Amino acid sequence: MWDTIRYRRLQALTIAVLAALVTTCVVVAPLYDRATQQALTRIELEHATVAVRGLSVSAGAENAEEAPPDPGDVAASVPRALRARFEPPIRQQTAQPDATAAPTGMTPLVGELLSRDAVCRHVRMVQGSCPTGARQIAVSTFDAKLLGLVPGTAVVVSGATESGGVAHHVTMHVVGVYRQVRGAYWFGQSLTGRSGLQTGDSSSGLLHDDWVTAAATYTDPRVPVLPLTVNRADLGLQPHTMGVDELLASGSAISRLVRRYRSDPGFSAAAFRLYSGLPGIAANMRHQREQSQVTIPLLTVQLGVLAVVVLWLVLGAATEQRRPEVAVAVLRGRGRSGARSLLLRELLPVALAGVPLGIVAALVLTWLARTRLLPGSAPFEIRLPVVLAVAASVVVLCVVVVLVVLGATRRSVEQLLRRVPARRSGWSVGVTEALLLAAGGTAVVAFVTGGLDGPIALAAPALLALVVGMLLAHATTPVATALGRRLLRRGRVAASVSVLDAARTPATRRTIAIVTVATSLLVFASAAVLVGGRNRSLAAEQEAGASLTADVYGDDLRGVQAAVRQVDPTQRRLTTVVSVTPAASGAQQTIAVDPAAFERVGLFAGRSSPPDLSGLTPRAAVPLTLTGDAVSVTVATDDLASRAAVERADGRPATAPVSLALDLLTDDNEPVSIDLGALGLGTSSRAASALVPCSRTCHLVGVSLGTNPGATVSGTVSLSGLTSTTGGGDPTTVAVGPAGRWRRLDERSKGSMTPVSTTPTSLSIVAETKGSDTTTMTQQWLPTSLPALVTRGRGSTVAGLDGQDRAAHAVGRIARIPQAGPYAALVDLDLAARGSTVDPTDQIQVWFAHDDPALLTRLSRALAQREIRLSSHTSLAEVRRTYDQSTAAWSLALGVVVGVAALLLGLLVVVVMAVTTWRTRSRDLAALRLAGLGRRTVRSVATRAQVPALVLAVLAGTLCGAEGARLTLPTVPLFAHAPDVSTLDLRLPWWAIATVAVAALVLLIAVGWAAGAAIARRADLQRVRETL
Amino acid sequence: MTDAVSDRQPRAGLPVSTHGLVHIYHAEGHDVAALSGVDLEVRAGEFIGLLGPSGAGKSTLLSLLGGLFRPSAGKIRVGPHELSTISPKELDDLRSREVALMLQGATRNLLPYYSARQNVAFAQTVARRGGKDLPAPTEVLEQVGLADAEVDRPLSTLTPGHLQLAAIAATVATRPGVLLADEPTSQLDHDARDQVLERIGWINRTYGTTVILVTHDPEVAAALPRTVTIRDGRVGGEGRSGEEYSVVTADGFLPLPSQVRDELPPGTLVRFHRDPEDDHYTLLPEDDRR
Repeated sequence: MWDTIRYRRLQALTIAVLAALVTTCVVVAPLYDRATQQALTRIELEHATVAVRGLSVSAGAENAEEAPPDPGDVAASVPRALRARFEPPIRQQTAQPDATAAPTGMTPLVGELLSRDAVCRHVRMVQGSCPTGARQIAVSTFDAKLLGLVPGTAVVVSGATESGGVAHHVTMHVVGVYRQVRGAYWFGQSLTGRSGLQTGDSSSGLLHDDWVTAAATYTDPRVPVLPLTVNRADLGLQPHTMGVDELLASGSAISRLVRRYRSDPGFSAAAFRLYSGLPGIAANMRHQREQSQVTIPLLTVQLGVLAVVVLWLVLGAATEQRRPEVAVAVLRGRGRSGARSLLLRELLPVALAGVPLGIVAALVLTWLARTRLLPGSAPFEIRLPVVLAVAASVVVLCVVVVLVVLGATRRSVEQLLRRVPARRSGWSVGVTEALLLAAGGTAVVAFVTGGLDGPIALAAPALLALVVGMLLAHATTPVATALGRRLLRRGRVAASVSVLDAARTPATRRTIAIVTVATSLLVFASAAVLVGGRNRSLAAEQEAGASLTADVYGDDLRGVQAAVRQVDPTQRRLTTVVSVTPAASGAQQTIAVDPAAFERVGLFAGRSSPPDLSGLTPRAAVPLTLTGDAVSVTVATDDLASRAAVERADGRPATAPVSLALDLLTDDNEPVSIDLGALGLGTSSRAASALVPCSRTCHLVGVSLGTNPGATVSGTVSLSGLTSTTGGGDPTTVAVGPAGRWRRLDERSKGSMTPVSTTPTSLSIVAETKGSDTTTMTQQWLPTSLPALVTRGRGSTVAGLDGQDRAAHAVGRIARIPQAGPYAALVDLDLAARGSTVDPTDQIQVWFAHDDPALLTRLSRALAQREIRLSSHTSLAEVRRTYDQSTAAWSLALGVVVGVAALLLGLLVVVVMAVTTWRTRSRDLAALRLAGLGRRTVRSVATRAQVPALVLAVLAGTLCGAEGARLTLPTVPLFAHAPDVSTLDLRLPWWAIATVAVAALVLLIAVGWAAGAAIARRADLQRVRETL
Repeated sequence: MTDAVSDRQPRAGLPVSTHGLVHIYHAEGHDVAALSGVDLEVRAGEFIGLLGPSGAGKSTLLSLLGGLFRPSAGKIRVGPHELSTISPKELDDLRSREVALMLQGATRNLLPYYSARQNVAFAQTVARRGGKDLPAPTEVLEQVGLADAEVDRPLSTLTPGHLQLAAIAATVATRPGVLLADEPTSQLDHDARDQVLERIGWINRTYGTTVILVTHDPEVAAALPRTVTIRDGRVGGEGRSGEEYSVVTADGFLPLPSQVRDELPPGTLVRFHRDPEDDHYTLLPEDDRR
């Protein structure tokens, strides 16, 4: 065996490497899949809060007079096997007794009384001591400050009301004042934050923070059963001891336990409750595991198929080279079985030697993935699937070797002894190839027509390339022969000999078939990786909205805008955005923005340039502003008449009083109506004045006529000489005209108010109202309908900043609004804010053009100067990371390895074909030299021989890979969970594909060229005589 | 080199005979008759050479004798075995013990990754497994004239003459009853050719091995005790101790020697005349009215 391996050591190495690759492909799938699951488990558990990843079990009393089960019993209700995966339980008892403290007189205090294991180690006593005995309590610093509970204070606590309506009381003593030390211990509980607040029912008194007491309080016989006592056990998870299997098992066990608590009367009577986020995490884990079980095999199976085919062809070439040796074995009386064993003894150990190499390579790759790619330090594991994969690879390798050897030894001695094997002169297909073609072709057609899914569908790109590659390979012989002969007739000797040489050698056909598949896989893997990456980027951009977004507490829009202007006066780097999300599920969301700045800062996923948002801001209307604390104006009427809804007793028409008011918007966007008093009917003129809250600035946004409900008003009302004064100073004239600054009112229900003006300082209004008690003519600056870009719907209304529906009109459609949900409208923030306040439920944000922490710090400071705080901030990179940290993304990352491996396989095939045929080819080339061709021409023949085949194969492979990607990518999970707003873009990255294909072609040609040159160097004249 | 014979019992050669042997190659689109009724008798232990022009059917005849393929018609008998009906298993057994075929070109008879000694050992494996008592590989190699220094060297380092000797050694390693050699002296210089021929002759004499050797070389043919000339797929003549004879075939045909054929072109009418006095036959063309 060693003699044979030594004799063809490069060939043996090649076979071993290919076998190793087959093994790696088979073994790396379960290893990598497992590593991604473990990494995801670690991340999910690490990112989950203690309470989410832990287990909290609680139980109450069956009736008011009984104590609930002991906390230890509550913990013991969790099955031992499940409990073993958690830290020892932290027992807790809480009750909600009413209490009365001496300093507050009779004002009842309501809140929780809490005892918890080792609580004194998790609160810091700022005064007094931690309770250690029964009926001792510690209060929060807020209770001490706000409620006057200091050490030494006695508190009377009432017990649960018993069946007779009697409630016992017990006196407890404040022994200390605590400050909660936040940490995992508390399972997310906050003991403070309620002190001094009114209870929902005003008669109940004030809320207090949790009072901490010792467990002895609950067992003290002097303490009655306290109302709403709940005993609880918190079991913290040990994240680093829980892998994916334990997580899935725990999730199922917890779900079972929850069902048991509900259905088992022993538990349901005591209201056993269990809270844990582990079932949800486990469900997500299962979902992502299913995804990875699509993508990882999709990539590795194809590479495995390619590696097996390459191995098949290499073994075929190797056995072809051994025909004379097989013949010798037969002639020496060994028969076919002896010949088979001769080949098997040589080839099988070599192929199987690749198995440990492949295992090591798979382990190294997985180690690299675990340490370089995957977060969470996934553990090293070799489990049953890996063992099965190794066994499968051994079986596959044995089957391939045996089949190839069987094929080689099935020939007669006469065939074995032929110096030149019989060549197919035209189009003919062997049985194996025909079967492969039929199977591959059927699979591809079935997949394209949608009749195929599952594992075979995963290999569709490889099968497509295999079919095309084999057809091309078979078409090569007749086509190249005809071409070579034509070139020869034209006298182009070197080119014709190159082509004819390529046509006659089986190595060319093999090279075409394999390089087609390899290139296809390279292109497919590249496309999958790039499309996956692009879609994650798009989804992250859509979700983040901008490179960095910061959420602001509160509703001080002006303050935020002022801070933004202070930090970025040009608003090229920052912009303010208000998001209005109605509470109703599925309702339209409103995103109010500064259109110009938003175009610069927002990320419009999937668009090469931002959309034109200019339509959101109509032609600028000049605002009417006034500043001061009082206004005065001359009000005149001309032929003003009114008619009340009810006639007078004498049957004559009654008049109704008519008043005039100015509608102002304060600097805080508060609407204020300034009554200018009653108007004289008929024709009159009088001066009117009023105080206004406009020390900073107000906008005059409307003029209203008021009358009795149902009364009508007609005539002309004029305003002139409107001035504002501050502190009795000089009046400032406010130009109320011309008429074009006002919007004519003409509504069927309200009537009409038509602005008529001849000068800038006066405004005449011709009114004709129809029974409305208030009829308002608005200034053009105040929009009546908001222009909106909508994702869907008519856009006739949008949610205003105040949460109320506002009239709107769609000025266009937009596929997606950054950060918004699927049903949203984009409006101009300035317009939306006119006449509208910001509702506390709105989210004010500041969006950043770049992820600039320094700018964020400056903004935070500017906001702090205005007593505004940032609640949180999110960067695009963080959002992208959440998309990247999924099995979907990690599975696709394997495409890089697969692509590189496919290219290496292609290169290997070129080398192998040169290695296995170099003797014959160099002898042929030497014969050409004998025939009179010069050394340079022979070299040219040798080096060019592979170029047309490689170009053809790379081209075909590229098209197959692209088509395979187009067919298969819709079935590839790109995300762990599909984003709410789809940014799916499965277009193929043609530039990248072309670049990859050209790079592959250059590499393949370079290697083919080098191999040809090496063969040409060996084509000396002595070679003609060589037989060994 | 030594002519010392092993003390093991030498085996007698096997007789070889063919009767009406016909072989047709089926090529693309047409058939080619390589042998058209060959009748040949080779006695056990005889050393004969097959002569004839290229394409005459010598190698085909040798291949049929070696069981490489079955004849289209006729019978081939090697010792007690009828090759035209023999089973593959029996054929393998025959090759492992009785019939050795030495192909043209030394290296085609050797496994390239083995040394000469390993090749001989490889050739003996099946026969040894079957209980046949065989000399050690080094002894076989010594008998064919390969020095100790050569037997373990890689084949690629041996001279063509030594390679041919190694091929002979591997072929006769099982002490076969019949040695079929296809041009064993081609591509060799005179010294190597003579050495190879001498060693084959020695094997024939020493072990009684029947040797049938194909050659183009007249000098080789002249050195053989009996030659059979194959022409147009038939036995065209025989040479015995330097004397050339025509052989009457089973169906009564008498091929003319080549020098006569030049004088009697196809279509010439001849008649045989027997001279009763000196018991001679005279061939008389039609226009010869003697």
